[in-house]
Amino acid sequence: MKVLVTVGTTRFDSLIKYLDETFAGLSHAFTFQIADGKYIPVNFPYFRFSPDINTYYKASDLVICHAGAGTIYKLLEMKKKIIIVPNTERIDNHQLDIASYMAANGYAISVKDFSELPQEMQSATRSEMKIFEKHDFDKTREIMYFCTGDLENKL
Amino acid sequence: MKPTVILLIYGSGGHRAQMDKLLAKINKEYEEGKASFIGITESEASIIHPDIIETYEQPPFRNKYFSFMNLFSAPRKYFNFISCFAKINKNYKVLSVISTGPGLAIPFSFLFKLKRTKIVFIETWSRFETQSYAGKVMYRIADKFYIQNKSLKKFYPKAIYSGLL
Repeated sequence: MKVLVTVGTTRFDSLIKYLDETFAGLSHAFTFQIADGKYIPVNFPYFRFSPDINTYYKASDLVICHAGAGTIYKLLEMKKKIIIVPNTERIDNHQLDIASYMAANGYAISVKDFSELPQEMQSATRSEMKIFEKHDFDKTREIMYFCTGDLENKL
Repeated sequence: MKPTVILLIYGSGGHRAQMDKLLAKINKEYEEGKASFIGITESEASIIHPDIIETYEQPPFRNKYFSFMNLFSAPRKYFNFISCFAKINKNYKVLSVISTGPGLAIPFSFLFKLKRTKIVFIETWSRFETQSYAGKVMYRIADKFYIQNKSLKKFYPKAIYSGLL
């Protein structure tokens, strides 16, 4: 199974180190996106950032990602199976909010303790996730009419 | 004559990503004539876009890590905000403000509100069961307040549901 691990813009060394060490020599093909991480993976290929991360998303069977909203929405839109690991190395807690929402509604798996990852990866391959229906932002014109005071174009 | 502009306020990371998407939508969906923009953002987070005339980079409004040094940096921060506000007023006529957060939007929206400038705030897309600090304060200041997730309606009863950027 091809597994991409992506941390977005904030490094998440403990996660990368855990996966790099735990899955060494096993059958999964990991690729790590590590941002400005200090831990350099030794058992699997890695890159820091990519202008074309979507290509990596497409090529993966499973994505393990931080709980960044931009990343999660993009992956769900591409109908990817994802395991969300909130980055607890960050001081702010808002990553927990989106992670628990996605898990509670069956759109994704969320894991707080790394030691649950091997088992959750197993169950991710077996089970189907609910499809996340994105309601696309539809207030652009309303906002622009309001902001420009465009009275002729009443809604 | 001073150029008439819409002021965009956004932070780094996800706040910037949301503003980026909004700008792309404006370009695609608002054909009624081109609007010009200026921006206020955090250090090194400026969006480069042909319709943004100029961007002012500011220190973050709230430091995520509390430290004693904040007591010393606060006065300089407020001085920066006020001088930036003055500069913008000297060079532009600001028609309205649009922000995707974070707290940086608060002091500027407050100042522009005093001048009766229209304020639009879009609560961040990463919230479902909690409110952002910026959201809590901006709900009181903004003329139009948008939420991207329906579950936030309980915190912001008068908000408009917009869907996801």
